[in-house]
This record gives sequence, C-alpha cells and structure tokens, in this order.
Amino acid sequence: MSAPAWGNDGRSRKPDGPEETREKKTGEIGARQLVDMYFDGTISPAARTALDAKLEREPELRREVRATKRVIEKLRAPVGAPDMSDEILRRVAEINGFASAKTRRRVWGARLAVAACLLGVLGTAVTLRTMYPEAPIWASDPAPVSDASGGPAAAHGARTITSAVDAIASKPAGGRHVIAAIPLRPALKLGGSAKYDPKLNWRVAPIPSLASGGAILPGTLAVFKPDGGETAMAVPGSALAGVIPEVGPATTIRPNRTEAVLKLDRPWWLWSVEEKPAPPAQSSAKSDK
Amino acid sequence: MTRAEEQRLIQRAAAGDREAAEVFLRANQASLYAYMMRLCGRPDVAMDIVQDAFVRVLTNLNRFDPKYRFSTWLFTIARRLYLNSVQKMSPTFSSEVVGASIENSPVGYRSDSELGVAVRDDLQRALMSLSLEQREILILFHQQDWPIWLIAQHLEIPEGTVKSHLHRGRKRLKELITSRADTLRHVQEVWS
Repeated sequence: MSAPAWGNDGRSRKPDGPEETREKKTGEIGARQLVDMYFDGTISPAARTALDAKLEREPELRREVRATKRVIEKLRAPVGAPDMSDEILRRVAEINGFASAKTRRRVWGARLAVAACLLGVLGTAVTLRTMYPEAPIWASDPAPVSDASGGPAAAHGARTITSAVDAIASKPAGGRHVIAAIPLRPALKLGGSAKYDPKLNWRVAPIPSLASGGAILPGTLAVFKPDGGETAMAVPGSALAGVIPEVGPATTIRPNRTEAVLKLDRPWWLWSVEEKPAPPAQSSAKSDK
Repeated sequence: MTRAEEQRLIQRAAAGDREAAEVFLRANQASLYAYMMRLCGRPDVAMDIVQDAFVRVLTNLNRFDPKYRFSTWLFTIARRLYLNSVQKMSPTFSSEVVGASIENSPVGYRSDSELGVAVRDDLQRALMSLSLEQREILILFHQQDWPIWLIAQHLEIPEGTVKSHLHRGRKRLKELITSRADTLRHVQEVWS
C-alpha cells in the first residue's frame, strides 16, 4: 500500500455531509468508501485517482487517512514474544512423548506391515469372491443364502453334484425319488447354522443322529422329511465313495425339499434335494440299469 | 512454508518427531502470541493461551484437517481457549509490561523508547475499547494479514459482516487513539 499523493489545501469534510449525500445520489463512490477500499487493499486504479483528488481537496480527510495509517503501522509493529518452545515441548512430551528416529522407523515399518497384511486379506477376499460369487460374505450365524430352488448351479462342484445326484437317484427309498440336486453356496462351518431365504426361514442345525436310530456317518448323505426326524432316505457312504468324503451334521427341510450339508473336497456345500414320488416304471428302469 | 512441506512436517510431528514439532513452534509462536496479546491485552493470559493452544494442537495432529492451513487451525484453537477463559474470568488488560513507565511519571514517559511503549499502550487501551469482533478482525486483517474470506471462515460470519466490523473498528480505533494523543499532548504542555 503506497501512500496517496495529496496536497495540503482543500475543503474540510464531515462524514455523511451534503457532499456524501450528493455522491450517493449521483452514484459516485463516497470518500469514506474510498478510504475503506484503500485500507482494505481493494482500491482500483480509477478509485485511487478519485481518492487522491479528494485528499487534495479535503485536509480533514487527509488527516484522517494519515492518522489511520499511523494506527495501522502501530498495530503491525512486532510484539515482543517470549520463547515458549521448551515449555510447550516439555508439556507435549509429557502427554505424547517424542519418539526417536529409530522408534519412528519401527512404527512406520509396523504400519507398512499391517497395511500389507490388510492388502493381502483384501486381495484374497476379492479373489475368493470372484471365484465364488454366490458365497456368503460372512460365515456367521445366520448368513443369507438364496432360495434353494433358485440357486444357480455352481460350476465349481458340477462334477461332484452330478455324481451325487446319480448316486442318490439310483437308490430310491421310502417311495421317494430324488429328481434334482441343486448345489448352493458353500455352507458354513460344521455345526453352525445358516439362514437361507428369509421368507422360508430355513435353518441348518446339528442333528447328531437319525430318529430311526441310525447315525449320520461320514460319507453318508442323509435326507430328512420336513416334519422332523424321520429318515426319508439315507445313502450309504459306499454309494458316494470318492464323491462325498464327509457329511455335515445338519439338514434343513421344507415340504418336498431337503438339504444337507456335505463336505466335499474342501469347502462345505449346501445341497438342496427336491424329491417327488417316483413313478414305479422309471424307478425300476433305473434299478435295472 | 508450502502446504506440501507443512503436510510432511505434520506427519513427522504426529509420528513423534520433536524437531518437526519445534519447526511449527518456531514458525508460529510469535504471530500467535502477537495475535493473542493484542486480543486479550494481558501477557500472562496470552502466554498461557499460546502454550495451551500449541500443546493441544501438537498432541492432536492426527485430527488435523489438511484442507486447512496449520496456522488457521492453531489460531482457531487459541481463539476458543481465549473465549473459554473470557467466560471463566474477565481478563482486564495489563499495562505492567507495555506501559510500566506511565505509573512513574506524571506525563507517562521520559524517553523516546518509553514514548513508544506508552503509545503502544494507548493502542492496546484503544483496542480493548472495541468490541471483541472488531478487535479480532482488525488484528487478523492488519497485524496477521489474513484476507477477508479467511477471517470470515475463521469467525464463521459473512464476509460483508467482516468488512463492516473492519471499517467501523478501524475508524473507532483511530478516533480513540487520536483523542488520547491529544489529551496526552495537552498534559505534556501543561507540565512543561
């Protein structure tokens, strides 16, 4: 901000006097406004020229501007500040403590390691999600699974499913016949429970033994009736040898729909088996085969 | 200090680097003290607030929002501390440091340097006669060279209001100092 060039002569001026009123009426910028713009540092060259002209004419305004400049200079004068660094740093150290360069490097190293681990976990999760898009995100209780009848076939287990269906279909029991087996998402941990379609409220729960007294053994696919307990079909492990190494402890049933948790190669898969009364001719034909 | 440098320093200070914290202290303590000193008029209060503000800031660097400048954050914290202290007590401005010689002389000063002290004391007296908003805006604008928009953001008021306070405060400050200087001049003439 350079000092305005102004002379010593000029008329005295009172704020909000007749001149200011005239300026307002004619749209001119008032002296007060010009002074404010000057000290705000927002004055344009044209306004600066106008201010200089006013200051030439108005000694009172000139004195006011000079006095204001002096006040601002005083306000900008440095204030002797004591050095408080040591005291502040001591207090900060009491609260937080300052770490040595070695410690800071270790902290950064640990942070990087944690970040790398997180990235690894995230990458694994993304890969698994890509491989098993239907898999539940959280292996918790309950975990949502789509309706068994609408569940898409998982390519991952296709060979195994076909084998299992064939094995099951070849051994009808109790007048029922399995006509379809739909692989669902990988089931949860052994003994856990899973909630499937919320509308159906299916649940998988541990069932240690059959109502008829037979135990569910590893390698055995057990199918249950919906109204609880009674065995509708039990396929011996021998029929599924090499296909289903272990049977999970859980089944979930609704009318004409049976589910079993089977441990195949590695993951637990939920199987849904829909059953209908089998025509004797078909049944015998298959038996003949 | 560029913003990138500031960010790096903040990261280092947040990680416990004493030297980085010291850089912030050295860079900001004089201006913060000057601001607070002019705002409250008491060196002891200003020192306490400056220290408390730095301690708070340096122990909470992880909460620093990088979209602001460090100094803006620091001043905001200091201002809050000052407002809290105002609520607890009424800090009246002290002339012990800035104008001690006035007490020992009927005129108020005996040498050029003392004259400077007395005049500065007058400035503080005049500042303390202004409203808090006017005082703070004048200090931030003319002493700290903050732009209007930043002051408006800092005080959470519209820019137009900042300008209005600035213009009125500047006029009032000039009037107060001029009238006091006239009085002092008159007293000096009488005594001489």
